[in-house]
Amino acid sequence: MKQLKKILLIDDDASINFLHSEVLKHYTISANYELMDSSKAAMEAIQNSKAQELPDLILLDLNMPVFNGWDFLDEMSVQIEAIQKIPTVILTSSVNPDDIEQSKGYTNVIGFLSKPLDVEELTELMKLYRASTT
Amino acid sequence: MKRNNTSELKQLLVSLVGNTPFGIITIGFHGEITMINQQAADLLGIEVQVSKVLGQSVLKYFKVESHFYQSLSEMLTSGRKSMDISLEPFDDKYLSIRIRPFINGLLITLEDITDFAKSSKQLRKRKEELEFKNNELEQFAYIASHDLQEPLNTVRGFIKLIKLKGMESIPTEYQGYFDHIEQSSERMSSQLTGLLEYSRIGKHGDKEEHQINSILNEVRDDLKTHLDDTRAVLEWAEMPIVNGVKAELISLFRNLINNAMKYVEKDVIPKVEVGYRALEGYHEFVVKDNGIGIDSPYHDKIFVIYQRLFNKSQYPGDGIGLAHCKKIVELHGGKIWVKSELGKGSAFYFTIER
Repeated sequence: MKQLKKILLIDDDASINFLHSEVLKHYTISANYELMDSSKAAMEAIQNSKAQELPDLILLDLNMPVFNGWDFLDEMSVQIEAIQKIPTVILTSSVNPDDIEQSKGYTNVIGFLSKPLDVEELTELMKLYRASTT
Repeated sequence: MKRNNTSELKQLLVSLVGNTPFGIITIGFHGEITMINQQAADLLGIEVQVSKVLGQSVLKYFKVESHFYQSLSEMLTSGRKSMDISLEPFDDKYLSIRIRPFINGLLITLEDITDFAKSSKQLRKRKEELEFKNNELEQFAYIASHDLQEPLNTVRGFIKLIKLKGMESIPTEYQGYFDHIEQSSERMSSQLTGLLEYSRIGKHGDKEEHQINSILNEVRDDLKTHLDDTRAVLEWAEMPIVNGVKAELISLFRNLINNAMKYVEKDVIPKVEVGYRALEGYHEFVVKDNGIGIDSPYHDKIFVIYQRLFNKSQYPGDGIGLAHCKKIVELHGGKIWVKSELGKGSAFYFTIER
């Protein structure tokens, strides 16, 4: 499969974010990784990016202080189309059926996976990504 | 003789009315007081001599509770019904009042229940406080076990990653350390999961009627691999229908049957038998095994969370299973206990309220 250009990883726990990026790197999923431990800062970074620098995929934690994953998704939906459409996977520590239901309201959310990302989760992730981009 | 009897009886009555702890008042059909003892006057806070209130309306002396007036006048007009009411607080006193039909009127008995009312009020308050604390603790256990799981998962993730990348470049001595880190974090994770489940008992929905027979079939399916591996024999006789929470009944039987299969001597094929008998107000179940048995000093201890009798390498476990069972049984209005001797197998009994 074609390598992605950039994956943006958002999680307030820097260690787990780093772990996820290392797992992705091990399988050379992407050429670049951007790690953010604040979703607010991540949003600002996206807003200030040129279109060609936008990530191909976002991995998003839900439970974060102040500006959580849902806030991030809401903010995404009022940005320019290129940002609105970035495929996003929610990565969370406890998969709650209500959250899955709520995530269906966002068309760019392509999947819901549980942390930490391991080989099986990663396979599932890439399947979801391929399905969303073809 | 007969005359004597009557005067004795009269004396007895006067003495009773004068010395009883109850306040006694009799009233006529218009509510006028026809008799009142000192105790009643004291309880109602009447300061004048009791003889002075005779003939006056009783309503004048009940300062509070308009429903008392209503009920009393209703009774006076109908003249038949009995009535029990509690007035609280009446001049800082709690009164229990009984009203009964009496010759040409009503008999009112007053009882000072201040101590009783205050202590039951206090008891209610304590009960609420306890429930609150208990809830808080359960919530705490839930949050703690859930939130501690997260950083632990990160540790486990990194170990997996190290193993995935290959351990060749790491000195052999250190490779062994990683195995220990991995085992310890797996163990902690399973303990946290156990604690999480323990804190969730009682939150799996409402009680319903369940066939224990089908519950046991589900448990047998759950434990199939373990049963096949150990070639264990699991048997049960006729089982009743029980009112309980399904997920918890399954967990209860699974824990007990799992233990029964686990704690056996090497090379012994586990034999587990589930028995039942109906008792007055209770269902009694027993899970019997041919295992290693438990020495009597430990018969109570084993139901306490995190209490274990064995080294992990002998018999693996988290020390939560039986505490889990105890909590489930108690929430079903029953008790759990064990009859066992070292080397002679164990029989775990528990009851469930009918």
